[in-house]
Amino acid sequence: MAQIRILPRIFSRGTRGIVLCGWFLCSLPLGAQTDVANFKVPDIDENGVMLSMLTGGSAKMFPQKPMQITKLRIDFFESDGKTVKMKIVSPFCNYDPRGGVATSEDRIRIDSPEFTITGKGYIFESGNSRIEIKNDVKVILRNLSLKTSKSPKESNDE
Amino acid sequence: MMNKFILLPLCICSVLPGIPFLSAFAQEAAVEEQVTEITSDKLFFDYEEKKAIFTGNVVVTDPDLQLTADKLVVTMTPEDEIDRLDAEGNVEIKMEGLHSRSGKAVYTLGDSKVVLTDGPQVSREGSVMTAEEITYWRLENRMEAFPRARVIMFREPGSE
Repeated sequence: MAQIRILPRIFSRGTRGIVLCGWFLCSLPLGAQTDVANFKVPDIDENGVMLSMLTGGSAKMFPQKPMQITKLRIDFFESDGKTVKMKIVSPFCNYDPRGGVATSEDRIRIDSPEFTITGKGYIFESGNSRIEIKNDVKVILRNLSLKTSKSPKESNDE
Repeated sequence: MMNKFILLPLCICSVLPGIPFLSAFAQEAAVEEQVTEITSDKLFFDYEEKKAIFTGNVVVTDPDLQLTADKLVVTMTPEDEIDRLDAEGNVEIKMEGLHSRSGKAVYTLGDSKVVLTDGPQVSREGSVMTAEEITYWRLENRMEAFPRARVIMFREPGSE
């Protein structure tokens, strides 16, 4: 079967990154509005290996309202903790840590060696592992053969 | 003078002798960087349900096939591999010299089988096949159409 474990990675690890971001930002002292600039939220496992790094240009937190994050970028790393396996970029999103929902009317781009997903406007529900991209969806899958269930590389190896 | 159309009610098994070679050649040439592109207006992905649902102006462009539809559901296996494609609404597929139109199409990758329903018709080299259901096994270049299968063969004017 084709090795196309693609979108699940977005959720298994993307969810964790977003949740971490929410946890980090919520842990900051809250006034009427709290701003954070150029923040980074690393996700490191028990062995000290970097799993992901979430960065943002800014985050604005408001009482009882979703926070606003600009220049969102999440990098997911290979087991060496250095090689980027997948990258999610969005210029802006609203994130509600209570529901674990990120929404945006802005563009989103998800890159990995196996695929690229782009679109405009999205809703990401981390709790139930759902994402909806609302406009201009484009998915590019690399090295997948739709003629058989095997990738060309797999077929050649046999 | 032969009629322009020859109508043949039948259940067909078709073989395309030259196509496998050409297809294999094309696939070999594309091995280095084979890209499948899916575009649509919207995408909804539910990981727990293992489904990706593309809606609105769906276009799949692949070295092996081109598909357009109003809606495309990609279902994955528990191992997160693509299992089947369900296309609905104004479905058109071009592959291996065939051009099909139907209301629905189901493509299962495990057996490379395409099942066309809801008014399917398949065109190839001057002939059009219709039936209530048309099934095409891509790896075997075999086609089955039933019930009420019909083939219309077009001839060039003036040809014997």
